[in-house]
Amino acid sequence: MSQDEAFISIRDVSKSFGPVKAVDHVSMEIGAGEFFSLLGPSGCGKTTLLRMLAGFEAPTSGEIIIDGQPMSAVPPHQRPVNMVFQSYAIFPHLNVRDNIAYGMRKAKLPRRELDALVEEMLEMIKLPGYGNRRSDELSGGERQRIALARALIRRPKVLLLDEPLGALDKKLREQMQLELRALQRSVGITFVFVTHDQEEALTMSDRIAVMSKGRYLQIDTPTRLYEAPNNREVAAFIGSMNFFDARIESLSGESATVDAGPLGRISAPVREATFSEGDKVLVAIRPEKFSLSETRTGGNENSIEGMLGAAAYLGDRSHFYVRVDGIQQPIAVSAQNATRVDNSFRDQERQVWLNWSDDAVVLLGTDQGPGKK
Amino acid sequence: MSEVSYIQRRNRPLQYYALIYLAFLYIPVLFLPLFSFNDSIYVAFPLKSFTLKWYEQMFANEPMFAALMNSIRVGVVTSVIATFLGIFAAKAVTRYRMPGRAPVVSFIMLPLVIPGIIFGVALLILMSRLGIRLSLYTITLGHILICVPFAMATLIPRFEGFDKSIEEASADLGENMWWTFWRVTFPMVFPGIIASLLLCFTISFDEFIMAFFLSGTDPTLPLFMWGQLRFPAKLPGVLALGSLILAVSFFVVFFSQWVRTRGIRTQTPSGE
Repeated sequence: MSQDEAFISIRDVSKSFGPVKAVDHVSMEIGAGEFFSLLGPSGCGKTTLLRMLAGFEAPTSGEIIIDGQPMSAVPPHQRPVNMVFQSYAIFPHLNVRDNIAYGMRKAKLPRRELDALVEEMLEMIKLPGYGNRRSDELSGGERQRIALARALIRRPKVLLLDEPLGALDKKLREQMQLELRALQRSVGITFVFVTHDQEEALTMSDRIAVMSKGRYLQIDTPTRLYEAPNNREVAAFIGSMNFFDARIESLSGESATVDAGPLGRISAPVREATFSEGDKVLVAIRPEKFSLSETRTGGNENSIEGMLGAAAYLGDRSHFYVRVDGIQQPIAVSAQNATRVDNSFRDQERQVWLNWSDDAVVLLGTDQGPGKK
Repeated sequence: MSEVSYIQRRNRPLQYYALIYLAFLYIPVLFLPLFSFNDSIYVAFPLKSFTLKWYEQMFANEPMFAALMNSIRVGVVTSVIATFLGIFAAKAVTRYRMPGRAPVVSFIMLPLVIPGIIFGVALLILMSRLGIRLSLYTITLGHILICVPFAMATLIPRFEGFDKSIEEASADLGENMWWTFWRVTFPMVFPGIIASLLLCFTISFDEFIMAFFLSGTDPTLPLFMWGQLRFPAKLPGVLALGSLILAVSFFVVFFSQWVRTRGIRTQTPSGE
């Protein structure tokens, strides 16, 4: 993201609550029309950062700039942002229509125009004719949509969403993820989305900032975060990951040969030129990048022999744990269940071969070593 | 096995206890209307014949009506000011992070437990030191002091009962503090405000001790009634007035309970 494209610019922002540093010197840039997610476990500072964008919390230091305007002196009610709260915060004493029209008082629209606008919003959120419903007659999903309409009717430059799908059940949540994404594309407003659910962030976002302990670890597209995490925490937080200690033996252009102990000597792509020969590194391989076979496969793949431990059948896929001599943690392997009855690897304690290709390997710096910025 | 669950099962001794309790509570009170219709100046059995003359006498009693009006004026002003102060105190206590919150709250609540006589004497000394002439104003001041804690105690649960993010949502949707208060906070705590007004009015209306210390030449109704008790002939008239007040209080209490439960029902289930 280049400087002039940035629509929201967070510059060295910190927020302390007493001795607790909720947000610790964070700088990031968010582009116009982007679906940007702040992802992290609870207490990582993502909600505090969002509330600073909304103006409910003032940064202890640093500056937030939205659309070229510094926000420090702008109170919440004058910011060009609107928020969808985690609890939805539907006004309980107003009906649906008045909830949605709440933010339009200053627009001073004639009653008929306002009604038409509200009805248009209700169409957009697929709840036509809901205007006269009382707020206590609404389901969770309906409240969520109305909170969305109430914010979008003001045509904000930025929509802030604080875990808006957290209270919904799984089916509805997945449906809302798709709808929200489609809606964001059609209205073209910048969305800043806070979530602790990595799947949700991966599904919807253009870019994700993975946060931990008041800082961000990596900001990238979902694909790159998953395929090329740049540190161990991100790799472990997004999906699951097997880690192996290794040392770089030689570097040649975009690939490296590493000595990964029990895994043997393997080659791996190098995406960032921050390693040098002899560095201690971590070899990371996703469970689904392994394949299991009963005999050694030939070809270009790497293979290692192991002992099948626990297996879990999850419907669409199965999880296996394979013990390999010399490696303490059993290796997690995930495989699609392609056939209807696939019992080939149900028995424990049998010899199997683990296979993987070179480009399945991600090299990460160890926590102290290079590669960590 | 009984068909009703343990918690719903009837409990005979408890029912008798409840009946005895209610009788103990209300039978003495019910003597008031009973004797107010009795054609005798002596409040004693056996009852004589039925009469309405004490009520006629009461309505002809000019000083008593003056006292009633005094009490209503003091009660209205007290309840409005105490509730007004209570609203902002309750909002501050429930909404803002401030140092020393707990001591501040207990300090405000202190008049609840300080005996009225101590408060009365203290205020009387203060007033005479300051050279302020005793009047209905001084009574009102005393009543406000004792009513603010009650107003706060009524209002704090209303403020605590709703999600803070509802007020934030209003700010987020472009309304400043005052508009947010007017469009969101006020309607949501409204049932509490009504309850507080009624409660404060009732407290002020029948408060005796503070009024006794702080009154000037104009008595409030309790003071007037107390004065009347010295004249046996006036007693039935007091009984008649007492019966009327009882009827009105009953109505007010039922009304305020109705407002309160209605308020609870319309309050949303909070977001989570």
